[in-house]
Amino acid sequence: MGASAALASESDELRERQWVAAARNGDPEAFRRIVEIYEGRLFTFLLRMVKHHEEAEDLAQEAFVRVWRHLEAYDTQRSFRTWLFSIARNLALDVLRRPRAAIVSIEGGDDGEGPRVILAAADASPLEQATVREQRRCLEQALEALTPRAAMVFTLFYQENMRIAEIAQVTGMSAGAVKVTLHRAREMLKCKVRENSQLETRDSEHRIVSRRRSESR
Amino acid sequence: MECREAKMMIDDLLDGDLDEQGRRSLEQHMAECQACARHLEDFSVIEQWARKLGLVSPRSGFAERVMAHLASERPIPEVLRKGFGFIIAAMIVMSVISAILGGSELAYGWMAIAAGSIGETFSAIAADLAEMGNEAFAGIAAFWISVEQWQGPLSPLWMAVTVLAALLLMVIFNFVQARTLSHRT
Repeated sequence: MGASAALASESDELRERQWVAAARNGDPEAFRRIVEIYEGRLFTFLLRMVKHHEEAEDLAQEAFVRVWRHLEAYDTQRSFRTWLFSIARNLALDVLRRPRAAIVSIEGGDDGEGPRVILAAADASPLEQATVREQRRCLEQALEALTPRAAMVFTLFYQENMRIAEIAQVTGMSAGAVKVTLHRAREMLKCKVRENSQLETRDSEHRIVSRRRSESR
Repeated sequence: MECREAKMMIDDLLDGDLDEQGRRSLEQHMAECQACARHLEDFSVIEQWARKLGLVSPRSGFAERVMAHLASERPIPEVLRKGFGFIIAAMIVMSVISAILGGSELAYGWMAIAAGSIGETFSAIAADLAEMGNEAFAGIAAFWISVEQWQGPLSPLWMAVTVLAALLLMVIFNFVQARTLSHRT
């Protein structure tokens, strides 16, 4: 199964390369394919950094527009993904440098439509799905507490499965700095997740106790 | 092995940077040290969750919005869009040169198209100022009068020179931009 997955990703990569080449020649349909491949990944990456839905979406759009404009200058010998994510990273850091009036929580969108979270384990049983969802919510909360830089490195490592060297290229950090940031992020998430789950256990215990009290009355 | 060293190795392991030999000696250490084994186990949980973390998708129709944005740019090709700016820039450069020349016989055909009635107004003001005895305005007045009149055999040449200047500016600009882009990425 591992071999077939590797093959699939290889042919995906080949197809992506062809689309990038076609888009460089001005084919908008090929560029749309590229947008479709990366929209969710780039949006999630930006959302974890700026922690604001609308802002993340604007940035993702701006990143794709810039890529389209500068496709001619893109060096095809280099990884397209590295290039795309470094453009998005530059835009996000620019926005984060500006003072912001209000920071809206990552939990909900402003338009009532809300974010659509793609379930990672759609074929699991309902109970498993509920557990996974609970775990994910816990981690999502913890992720929100990460600094933009830590969230950036974390997402590139775990979502994009990038190696340390590639993350260094995207972020402009040294490999050592990437490692340190990643370790700190892990350490912090570990504490946060433990904190959250302890709070929840205490909460549910409290609820059970108070229900018992009201029943006994 | 000390626990401090083991913890560093655990970090490397999580980064995907631990070789086979390191892996074996770490396993050996953890067989004896429960604290380090638990340390790795805690991280493994985070690791599993992080790998399972799904993507958040933008509002539906994102790709369409991006494509619509690009389409709104497409009708004017980049060369033309930029070219227009360069022609304006070249016109400014050329009018500075002609002002220095003090308004010679050259006819500023392109200026007549661009400036038209503005030339008339400005030449009148400049002529008034020149009449009041301000020498510096004489050249400017002559320039704007020639703009207004739009005459002289050299005007097509002048236009050609302007376009050439614009092309030159464009080449320089693209060269500089390509260099900065390749530096940045």
